[in-house]
Amino acid sequence: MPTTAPAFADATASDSALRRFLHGLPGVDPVGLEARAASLGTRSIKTTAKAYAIDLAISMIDLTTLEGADTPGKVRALAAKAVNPDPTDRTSPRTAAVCVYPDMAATAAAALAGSGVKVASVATAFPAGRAALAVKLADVRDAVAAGADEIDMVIDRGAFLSGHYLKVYEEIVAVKAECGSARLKVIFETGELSTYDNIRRASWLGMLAGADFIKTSTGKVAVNATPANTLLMLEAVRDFREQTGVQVGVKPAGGIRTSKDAIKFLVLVNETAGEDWLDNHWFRFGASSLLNDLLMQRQKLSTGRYSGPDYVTVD
Amino acid sequence: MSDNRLSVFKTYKLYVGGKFPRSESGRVYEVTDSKGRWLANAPHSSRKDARDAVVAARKAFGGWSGATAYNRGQILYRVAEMLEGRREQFVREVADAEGLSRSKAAAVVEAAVDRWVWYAGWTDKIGQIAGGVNPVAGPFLNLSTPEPTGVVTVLAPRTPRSWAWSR
Amino acid sequence: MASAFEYAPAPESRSVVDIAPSYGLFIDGEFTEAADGKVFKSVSPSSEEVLSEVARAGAEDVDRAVKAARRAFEKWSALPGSERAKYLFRIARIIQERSRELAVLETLDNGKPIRETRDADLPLVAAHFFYYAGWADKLDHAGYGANPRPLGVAGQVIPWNFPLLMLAWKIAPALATGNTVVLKPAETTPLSALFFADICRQAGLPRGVVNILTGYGDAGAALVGHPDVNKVAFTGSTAVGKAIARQIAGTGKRATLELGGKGANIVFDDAPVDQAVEGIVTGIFFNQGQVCCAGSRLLVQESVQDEVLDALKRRLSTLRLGDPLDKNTDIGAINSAEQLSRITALAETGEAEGAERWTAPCDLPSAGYWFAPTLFTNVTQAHTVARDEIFGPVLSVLTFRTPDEAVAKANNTQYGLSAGIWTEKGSRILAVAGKLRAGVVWANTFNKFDPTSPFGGYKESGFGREGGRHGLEAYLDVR
Repeated sequence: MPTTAPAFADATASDSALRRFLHGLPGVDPVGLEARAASLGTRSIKTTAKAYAIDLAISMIDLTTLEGADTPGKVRALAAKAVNPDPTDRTSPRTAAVCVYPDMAATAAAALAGSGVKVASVATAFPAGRAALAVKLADVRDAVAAGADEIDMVIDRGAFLSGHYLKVYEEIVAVKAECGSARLKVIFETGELSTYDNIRRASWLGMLAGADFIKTSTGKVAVNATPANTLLMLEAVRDFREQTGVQVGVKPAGGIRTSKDAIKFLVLVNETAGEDWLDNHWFRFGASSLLNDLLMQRQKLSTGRYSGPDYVTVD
Repeated sequence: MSDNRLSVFKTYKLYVGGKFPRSESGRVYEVTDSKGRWLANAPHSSRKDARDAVVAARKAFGGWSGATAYNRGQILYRVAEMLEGRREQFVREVADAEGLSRSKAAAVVEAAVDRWVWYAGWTDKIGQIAGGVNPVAGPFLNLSTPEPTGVVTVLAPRTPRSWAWSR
Repeated sequence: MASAFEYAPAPESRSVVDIAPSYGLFIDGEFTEAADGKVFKSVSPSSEEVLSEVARAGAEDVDRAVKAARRAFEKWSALPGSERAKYLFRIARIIQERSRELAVLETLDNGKPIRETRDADLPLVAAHFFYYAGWADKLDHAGYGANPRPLGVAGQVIPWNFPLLMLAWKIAPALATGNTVVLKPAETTPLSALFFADICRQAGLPRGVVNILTGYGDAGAALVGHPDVNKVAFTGSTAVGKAIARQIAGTGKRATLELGGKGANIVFDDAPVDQAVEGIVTGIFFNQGQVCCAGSRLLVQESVQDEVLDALKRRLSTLRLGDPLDKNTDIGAINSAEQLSRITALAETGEAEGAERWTAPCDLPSAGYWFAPTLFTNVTQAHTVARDEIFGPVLSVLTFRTPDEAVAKANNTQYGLSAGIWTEKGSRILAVAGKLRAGVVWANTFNKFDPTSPFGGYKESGFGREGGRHGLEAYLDVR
């Protein structure tokens, strides 16, 4: 596939070559990684910097609903909120995207038409990813046909953990081919990969296979996005661009609920990958309740008073 | 306090898993002073209460034993601080329930506070005294580290006699 | 550095600390003027603003303080250990309560970033008192025999790089073991020791148990030389340490000396690179490199040199140098004009001797004493910057080919205080650590301190250990 950067064409030539490549990446010391993430978490972001960060964070949200009980009404309400997050303040930026299941993609696309807010759809038998490849590809095709601009796929964690890296790679390549012009986000489910070494390997595997974004998690398991695993993935996209010239985005998802958390992630972006990633084309938050907290903080900055949950819309 | 004010009694309850439940048995027993006068009712714990307590202790074991020795020392010292702050109450209760004079009761409570301080200082030293590197005859690193036992059951002695322990 | 995400100033409030216009010496539980009335000024190195005027101790004041400590010794050493413990626990708690105030004070007087005083210095100070408080009533269990006795009056002289932490390292074990102390803080950083005197007062510590003499080297020499001092504890330069050793030779005084260093931070080709880069930064730029155990020599395996140096330079470009009271500042001011000129001169020597200089891109403030983070590459064992302690934010980079060569180069120094090893291979950590002649060896981390862990040097880095169970020995009569 032409998606693999030429510099690493040999790495994906066979299962054993890919294994050697991934296991040859520098190790990750968990204590050091977590200490660095915690240290960046102590940055104090105030006044003008905070206002900038809040608006940037809002513009980076993939406003998400991924429930068995989702209905067209729920999706339309979410889409309306994505386009116009704060009814009392039209200066609020729009979110980056609305993220739904494939069967809701058409509803979302209709509701978001002309707004500039993207339709993101999970696919590939989200969240477990336990289905035949043909089923996963059909899932992707459906979502793209329904108007999805972005596809959030899950990798086969079983294959990854049993060492079948090439299988994981080929599946991503196949999904990418189905995406057409839609951008592909590859979800690792970092909580299931468990070690930081695995997360670094998965990041490189995903980027070699042509991911447009690498994404931490589905939001459906116990451990989702953390400052440490996101920092690690930011290091991976930084190093990948340095070595291949190809820029890849990062999306932490799940568990980011407060403005304070979101700003900490933006500090990680700023001081790890750098300002080229401070744009919703390259960094996203997979979140739902985060938006209201950002809006309340935004109201506090403009009025000087703490806002409350009755001054933002429920969705 | 005016003479005609009726005082408020304390309801003594169990302490299990960070909560203060009543006994599952629904029963209490009478706690009396050294002269046999009623002091309070105490929950009459059942086997199920004991099981719940052990389950709660086991659940807490990983977190507590995994906390740093420094952190555990800080918490033990905090207990000493709190006990010192409620010194008067404990002196009164010890004097009443154990039939001790006020000065003897005060000595008991003070010794208890100091005992907490003593162990607060042990948390980060026990490993340095009881553990170490064993100089095995080979190119191997061999360490010994004292580890906590797990869930410990403590049965308070029946004396002083005033603890009316039925059955 | 213009960036889209420009952090707005986030200064810690100065108003949390109330610095008096002048301070006396703390002798026998009271603040008093120097006998000859001399004073000196303490200056904030980040602004050159005068913070306060403090008394300058002379020989007569030293004598008064030592006599007060001697008077206090009999009762203090006779107290049950459990009572001494409770005094130390009180001090630890008051330090925790007043930590924000003390952090701001230390940042003002020393120039180091508030992020470090808040997150490193102050927590460690409180922890040190807490740890030794616990030993006061457990000395029988410390491995020095039954009922080990204190030495008497300890004369302690500390440096300016970690003023309050060095005070804690000296005073906590001394008091726990039953000694009384006379302590002289460095002339450029006298204030936190004077605030500590107030903490002793709040804790109800008996008068004379702790005495603080602010002053210069002459006061330090008088203290060390006083005939009624039983124990000398010094942290500072190797040159002064040697002078002290000569001064007290044959007097029967016990001494511990914690002196200079030229720590090697060894990065192997299988190191966790991103964390190693963080460790290199912590190793040499923590506290502006003004750390005796700094990892001032980077020994990097030649096969990964380019990768590591590129990553290091990229990382150094993100360091934020400036107002130490700003919570986002990573690199603060150099402690004094004198120290700045010493660093500057050594860096110029490095260039003159042919090493390649790289400086992190950052603007230096116009007032105060500043030095940008600096790297020297193409450095060999023959370069001055690889041999002399610079005590500033200057890293010398050397390469090696094999583990044996790394060990040989690491040990090829007059010092032996600290070293670091970066590798994912556990067996290599143990093998290399065993061969390094350094008092502290860190593996996959650097500059991590803990009161339970003894600290001290080999060779010209000094002798004796501070911290941990071993730190008790220096204050006990175990001969």
